[in-house]
Amino acid sequence: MDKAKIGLRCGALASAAVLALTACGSSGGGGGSGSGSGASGGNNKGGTLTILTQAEQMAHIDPQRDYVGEDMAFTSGYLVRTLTAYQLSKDGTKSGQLVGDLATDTGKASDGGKTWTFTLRDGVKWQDGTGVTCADVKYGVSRTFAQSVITDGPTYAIQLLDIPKAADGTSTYKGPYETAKNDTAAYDKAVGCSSDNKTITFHLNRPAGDFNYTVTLTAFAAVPKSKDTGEKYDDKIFSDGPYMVTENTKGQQLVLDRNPNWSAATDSYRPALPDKIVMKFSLQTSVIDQRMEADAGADKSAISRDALDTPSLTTVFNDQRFASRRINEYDPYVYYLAINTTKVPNLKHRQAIMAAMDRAQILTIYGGSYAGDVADGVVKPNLKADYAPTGLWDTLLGAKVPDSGDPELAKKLIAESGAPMPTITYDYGQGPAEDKEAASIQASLAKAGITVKINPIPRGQRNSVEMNPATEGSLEWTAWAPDWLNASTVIPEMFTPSGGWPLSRANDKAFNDKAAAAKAELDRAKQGTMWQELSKEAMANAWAVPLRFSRTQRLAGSKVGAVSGINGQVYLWAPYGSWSYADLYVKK
Amino acid sequence: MTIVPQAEEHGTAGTHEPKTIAGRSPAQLAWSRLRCDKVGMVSLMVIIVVTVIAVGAPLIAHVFGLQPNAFHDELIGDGALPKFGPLNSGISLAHPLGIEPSTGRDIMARLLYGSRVSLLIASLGTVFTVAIGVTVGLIAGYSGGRVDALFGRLMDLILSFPQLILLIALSPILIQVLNDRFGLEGNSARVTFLILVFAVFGWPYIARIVRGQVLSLREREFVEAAVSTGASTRRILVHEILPNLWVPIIVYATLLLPGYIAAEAALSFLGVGVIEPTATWGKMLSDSVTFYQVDPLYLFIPGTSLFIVVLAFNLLGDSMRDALDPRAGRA
Repeated sequence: MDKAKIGLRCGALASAAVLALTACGSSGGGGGSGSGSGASGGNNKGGTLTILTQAEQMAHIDPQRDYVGEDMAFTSGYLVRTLTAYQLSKDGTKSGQLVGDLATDTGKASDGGKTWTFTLRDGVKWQDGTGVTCADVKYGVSRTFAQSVITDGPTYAIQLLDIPKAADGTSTYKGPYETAKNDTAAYDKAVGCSSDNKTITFHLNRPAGDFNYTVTLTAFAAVPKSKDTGEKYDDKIFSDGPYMVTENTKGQQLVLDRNPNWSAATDSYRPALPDKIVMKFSLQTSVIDQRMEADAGADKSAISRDALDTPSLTTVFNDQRFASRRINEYDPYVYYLAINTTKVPNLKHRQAIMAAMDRAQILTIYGGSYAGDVADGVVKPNLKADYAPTGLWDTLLGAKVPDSGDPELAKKLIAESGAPMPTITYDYGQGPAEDKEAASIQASLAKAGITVKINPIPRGQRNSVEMNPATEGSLEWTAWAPDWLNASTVIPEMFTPSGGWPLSRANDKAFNDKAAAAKAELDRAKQGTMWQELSKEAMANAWAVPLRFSRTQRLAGSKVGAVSGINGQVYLWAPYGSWSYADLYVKK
Repeated sequence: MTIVPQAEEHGTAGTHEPKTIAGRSPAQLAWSRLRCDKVGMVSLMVIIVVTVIAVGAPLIAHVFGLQPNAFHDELIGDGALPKFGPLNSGISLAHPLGIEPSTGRDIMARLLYGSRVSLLIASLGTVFTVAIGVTVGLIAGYSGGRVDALFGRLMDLILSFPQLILLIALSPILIQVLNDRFGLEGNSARVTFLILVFAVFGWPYIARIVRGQVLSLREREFVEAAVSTGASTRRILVHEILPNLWVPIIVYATLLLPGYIAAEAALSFLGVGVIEPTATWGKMLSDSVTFYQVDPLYLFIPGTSLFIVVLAFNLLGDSMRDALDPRAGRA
């Protein structure tokens, strides 16, 4: 998932966690709830939880269009039940494991992982009292196929379901809104409901041992056909969770009140303690930080959706006052610069850019050790099985490159390339730290004789400029996190033409074939080794300059607690690198 | 025809006996009045010093070894703050005014180079604003009738635009036009954009003032006399009316310039101004706002510089008004 639209992520980042990767992908598995230690129910029920953000709105609350990790944690915590969900736990290992949410368990795989079956829970109701049925889930998943209306969401349904493709590469099924030339029969074959409308079966086009992880995405959540308003569904969705949307005003607030037809008996996953949830939009970042630090009045029961701004870090982390309400953890993201191979086709040129980059300086600009660690690839160590040191900065460039860059090596590489170095245009989204990063990149590459033209893009427009091959520059600021605990959502997404974020515009047939083979590999350990090699190969091809494995810092009000936190203390939920929205509560 | 010199109103006690009795032009009179105004002289000195520094910035930087764009991230610790200096400012012998958080760039060097850009934008903006405004005001005021009404509505239209919102919305488009049609890149495009924008939105104010003055001036006897002797309109405007407008024009200009420095600061704050790595006082100010709680000097130093310059221009404007026309502003 991408940072600016805040993609999706899955990853047990917390530092010391050892992931039991074999737990991923196996069939069956118990359906426990996520509540751990700390008080639940009773005494902490009630109150209003306020969430402050500088964003004007949530990018999307429409489940099929939501691809922002933080937002998905929010919507799946309060409004949208998914077939499976990640455990609510501070422990990184536990939170990487699945529980059945809308489904009774974590799904059954058959046919070598090409068929997946989920049995839906009884008694789950929509906010108007009607029951949630298999037909609703089937309809929800079908909406992804209407790509012209349902935009910006993950396209795994299109990639994985066994529906034929037309000559131009698009699916023959065009979604539920088209009547003409629409292969609805193919969709009906790929996704089937049992006669009692309680069991849903997915037929995939390739074996996927981790499909039960894929369905944690809200893109695989239910939507009732009678309540679907197409593009407008994004303004007010129909809820089957403990809360429902009462107000969604862009630039003002999003208000959730209790869903009278939700029953805790059918949902042991969500404690649903606050009476009301309010997200306040369009606040200034520095003001949010100040309010969170001051912790006065109603702000005691508030959290900030955004990470702490760099200037606030020293205050918050050097003062013991904030000890019980601050968080400093790895998030799921890798920040990197994609090198557009259509604009910089020469390998040595791309390697020169890598060699000259002063990555230590960029890390300092973002806050030093608060910002994370210098990265050596696009796969983060949290993806345990898939990560191995790529050796990029030791050997892959022909010499050891210090974190501050080596302009001499860069000059040598340019001389060896046999072609003059093109002018590099650097695209990035405007922001105070991003502007300085741009100046730093320009200065450090200038030392190697590389001219960089910086192109600041107004916030919110960066994605469309970078994704459009016509407007994309040579070097792109970007970040990505895995959509679930598997590098299959990282490497193919970035470095194959069919990926969701292929800013490098790489198209190496041998690499594409190896990536496809790795995706289909059912042996997790073997798959991990394949991803490690592909990660190293991507760095050897200099398709991206990895900058940092990032950390995030958050602050909560003194009256906010998390049910599965230690002593009720708030924590960073590893799957999405977000607040554990589902189990937050307001202390009395 | 020689005029008997008037007695001096203030200043030197009458020990000075000129050899010949000679008339002094209004400019000379004004200058001697200004000379005696201490506040005015101090302001003038400040402005001259700032202008000299701005113009001679590369030379000064060369002499003192200042580099505005050199990163010193080794001096920055965790949390993007300077590792030393009072109040986290990074002030030391090597960096007398401190260093920028995040990047470690020298503040004194950036103030120096920043003054060039800020003053360039503000002064060119003022020149164009005044040029357009005076021209339109003269024509509208003197012509009267339909021409006046037309310009009047045009002025109303421009004044009614929500300027800031329009600027922010239009800036990417206009800058793109400057890039494509005029071949301007990067900061040259942005500086041009800012100057144009100031001129386009600023001229109605002075045009109205000038028009008002012209309306009263054109009824005066000397204008009537000029008309009756057959002077062309252009001659009347330039030689009869304009000389009487210098006072409000100069005063307005000296008040406009610091306004533009501040406006450039505001636009840089909003991200439509000059881009990295160029420093302007406005950008430094906007960057410093988020850090003010942990590194207040980073806000204080450019803020004080800006304050001093703006104040100097304002006080000079007042003093010039007093010097040029002592009766102006009095009932």
